[in-house]
Amino acid sequence: MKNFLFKVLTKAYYQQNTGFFLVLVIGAFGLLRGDDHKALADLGMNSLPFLAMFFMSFWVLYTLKAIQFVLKSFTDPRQEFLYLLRLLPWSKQVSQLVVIQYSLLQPIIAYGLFVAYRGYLLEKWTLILVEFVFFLVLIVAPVFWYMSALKKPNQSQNRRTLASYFNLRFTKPYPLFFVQYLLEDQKMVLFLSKILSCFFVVGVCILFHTDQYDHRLISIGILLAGLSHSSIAPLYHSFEHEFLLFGRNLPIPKLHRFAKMLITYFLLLLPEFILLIRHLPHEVSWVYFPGAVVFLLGIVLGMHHYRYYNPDDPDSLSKVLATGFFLSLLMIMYHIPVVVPGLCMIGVSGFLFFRYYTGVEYRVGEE
Amino acid sequence: MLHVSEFSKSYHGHPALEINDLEIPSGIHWIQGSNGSGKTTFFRSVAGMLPFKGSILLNGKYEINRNPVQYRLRVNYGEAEPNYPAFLTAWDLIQFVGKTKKASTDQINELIETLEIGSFVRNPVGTYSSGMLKKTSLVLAFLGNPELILLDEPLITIDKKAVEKMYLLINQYHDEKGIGFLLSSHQDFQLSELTVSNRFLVENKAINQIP
Repeated sequence: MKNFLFKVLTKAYYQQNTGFFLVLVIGAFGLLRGDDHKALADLGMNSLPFLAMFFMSFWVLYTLKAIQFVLKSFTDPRQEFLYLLRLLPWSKQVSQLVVIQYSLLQPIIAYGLFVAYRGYLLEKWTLILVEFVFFLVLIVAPVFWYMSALKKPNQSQNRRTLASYFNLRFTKPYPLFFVQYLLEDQKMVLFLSKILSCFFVVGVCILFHTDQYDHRLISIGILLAGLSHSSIAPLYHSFEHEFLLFGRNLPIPKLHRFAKMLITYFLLLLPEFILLIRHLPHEVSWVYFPGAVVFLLGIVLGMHHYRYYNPDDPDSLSKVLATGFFLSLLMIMYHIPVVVPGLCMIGVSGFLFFRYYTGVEYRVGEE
Repeated sequence: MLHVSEFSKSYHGHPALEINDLEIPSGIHWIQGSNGSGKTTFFRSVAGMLPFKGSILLNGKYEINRNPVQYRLRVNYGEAEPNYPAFLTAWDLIQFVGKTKKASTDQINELIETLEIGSFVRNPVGTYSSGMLKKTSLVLAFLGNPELILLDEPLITIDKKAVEKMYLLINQYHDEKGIGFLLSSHQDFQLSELTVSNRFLVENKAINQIP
């Protein structure tokens, strides 16, 4: 049973979030040096407020992402068999779910151990104990959440009055389908992607004031903001495969399909565009802004469209993401305007879409 | 009506269906086959939802890959087990599909009335029963001015009254508009009010007409 759960939950979780972890690694180890991590960990181990504000808040967000994944797996009609878990003895349910939760939290537990090790060197025993208890709560508490969810299968969804009002008066346009899907069913993925992405955009704009050498710093921030959406693209594909398969039977020219997707991603990136307008330093020319918009769109479209070429290989996607990151970084460092890589990526996306869209295998309900 | 030639469909390198040459004339046709025989694969391929090798030609004019838009304008498909986003309403889906298939407002209203989905058409799909979901998918399958409608298990999960309405609708669209139908079902259409022109059997990775 443990192996079975590991396959359905843990393995699936890490496979679906390959892009997210890559961005995290690039963000955490590309921008910060080893000494920076040591300094941050020492700060955390010297001050409980810092530990709580900086590290614990991030660990909680990560845990919520993992919890949301498990709860989502329970409600997936294809995985309703997971409800059979509640037929096991109580102690067995707890122990197996604890193991699963522990396996899902591995990345933050590993970092937590590093922080605790710094605390050990500084002999901060109380804060090490606080951290230990905190992780214990992150591992055990969600298990009872899961068990509660397992007791209530097929809960009727209570729709809000406001939603009913809009349903009666408005018809949703296609580009909003996926946006609403994220807002309704993938809140945590959307929230974390946006937090990370907006952090990069605002962060580099504020940092720019200390280094007014050129636009490169802002461009790197936009690059990381774009990569922060790596969890969104796989969701778009699975959304189309699972719920909008009939869309392939509709007489929509490919150009229109591509345009609809462009509009969807433009809507999703609106917060970043607004933040960029709001925080773009005065020293940066407004001519830079349209280029940045094209660059950001190009990155997310590139991540989305690569999957038409190679839909079932997360490892290959990671390699492409890493290569794309370093190529873009190289272009930025060589002062090539960001509009150039942006247009290149939109062009490549268009090519991949027109060449491979109809050839992608949809493996839903095969007979 | 439909000419399938040198068709082959594989999953993970394993052949699922191979059709050397198949001509399906106009009419109402019953596609039979046991579970897993490849009926849905065939329907989805003809509907343009699955990639495959070969050629599918509609009425001698529209080839699925060479004329993708014109072909899809004329071939509609009703899923056996439809799955739509829970937050959308049947109305959202009908408007979206209806617009692309060029369905008139009158046709939309008629279909909503005939299949009796008016009472829940503005409710989110997530609140539907399987029968309500099936009726929604059947409305979508009739939208526009198709020349061929593929209905995969059209009678499952709907009540007796809806089944009778379904027969009525298929006969009406066939007799008045000359629309061809490919129907798959485990129920016996020969005992129904439908005039089945031909029966085809999907078996051993091939489709053959039953004499």
